Amino acid sequence: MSEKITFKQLIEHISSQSEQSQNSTNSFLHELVQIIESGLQDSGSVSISEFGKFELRWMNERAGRNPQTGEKITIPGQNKVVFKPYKALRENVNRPYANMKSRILEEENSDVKEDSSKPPVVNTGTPKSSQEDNNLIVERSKPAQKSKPAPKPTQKKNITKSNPFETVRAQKDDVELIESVQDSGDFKWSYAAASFIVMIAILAIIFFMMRPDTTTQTASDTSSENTISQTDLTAQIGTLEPAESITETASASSGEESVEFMDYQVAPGESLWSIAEDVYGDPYLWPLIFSANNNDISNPNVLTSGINIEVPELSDSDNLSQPQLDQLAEGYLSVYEWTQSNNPEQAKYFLWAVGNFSPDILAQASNRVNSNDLAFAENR
Amino acid sequence: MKYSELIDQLADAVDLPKNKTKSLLEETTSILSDELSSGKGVSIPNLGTLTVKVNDIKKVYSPHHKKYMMVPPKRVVEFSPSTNLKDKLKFVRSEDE
Repeated sequence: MSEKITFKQLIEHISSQSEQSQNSTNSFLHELVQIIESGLQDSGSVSISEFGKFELRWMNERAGRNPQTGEKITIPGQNKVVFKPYKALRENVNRPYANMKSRILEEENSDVKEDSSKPPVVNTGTPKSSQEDNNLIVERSKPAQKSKPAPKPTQKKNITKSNPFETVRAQKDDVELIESVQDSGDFKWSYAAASFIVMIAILAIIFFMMRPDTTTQTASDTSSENTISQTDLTAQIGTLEPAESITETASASSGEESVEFMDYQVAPGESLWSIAEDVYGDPYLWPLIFSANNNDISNPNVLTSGINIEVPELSDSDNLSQPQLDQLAEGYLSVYEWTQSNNPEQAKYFLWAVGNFSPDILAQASNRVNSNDLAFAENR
Repeated sequence: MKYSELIDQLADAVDLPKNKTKSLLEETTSILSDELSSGKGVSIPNLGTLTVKVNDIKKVYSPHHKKYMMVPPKRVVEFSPSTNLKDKLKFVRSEDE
């Protein structure tokens, strides 16, 4: 973590806790450092109960190189000062991740890839079109795709026959799928994505030659745009999608709008994680608190003690309703955005959590997140 | 040096009774521990810097299960000694212990 407190702040903190003057605390700490140093000199290790052990470790002479000239030198043996935290400190520091356990990876990568694009499809489309898309996904991951476009037109036709109003929607889903594939940006996929686009184009052409009625005009426009410029379409869909899902969530949440907030004063040593555990019984709900206090908390990993925060109240934290899940996903999304700007390598795990709690939110956010992270989130 | 020896010497140095010194030291370490656990680092002059580092989630091969495992992220304390302390102790040969 980049954030640090100064020695002065530390002294102020200790002196207010122990009711000593800042002067005496200061000299106390300096004496402590002196004694640690002389203890290291005399016996080579200093142990502080419940905290850790300072030790001298002898490093043997070894061969090295001057990094500037590349010239070989021997580094003489010397002591290194190491600090070994004891269990109490280790557990205290690792509390946010304490409940996580190692997991054996069972499935191979290829399996994961097939599942990858399902979440956004399932949210936006009807069951029928998603089924159809799944077929397409399975086809896509096979290398020899272009050789068998035959079975697909019939499937597509069946669906459109049974429900003519579905056509436009299905088309949109296809395009969105392309978008998500493109977004994933992984060069391993680029071949699959390219051939997939070509396949869709062929499909669309065959399909509209077979059924030249109602929606032909608009749809052929779409298909031509499809092949010529993807960007226009994705822009269109980008504007279409959010509007649709916003109305959905609005109608869903109108039932229980009243989110009550509870004032909470942060005690020293508490984290969002521990507060969520105390209040809700489930530490994984901490982004709810973070999103409710976006203005007060700039860094979710650091919580200043003594500040007042608002904790949204939940009636039943075991069974969250859909709007609450959406809210939680929004919270994870804001955590993702924060992490993206501060610690980009870890951001993807939070995005994955977004998709886990509410695929809708992930789909809405798909055009403003890093494409690699999105691919990771969908792969899980 | 044992904890009790540390307290003895410290009590001498700051002119306080041992039990008082002990509770003061406990308060100090618990505050340090709390600051570290809330993700903040702290530098102590002439001693060094204590910081918190997050070890990323990683994939490792487990020879026992003969499979790959995902190891969760972990927060650990890191200590880097001050150059002052490092230089003073560099060539002290303390083979005992």
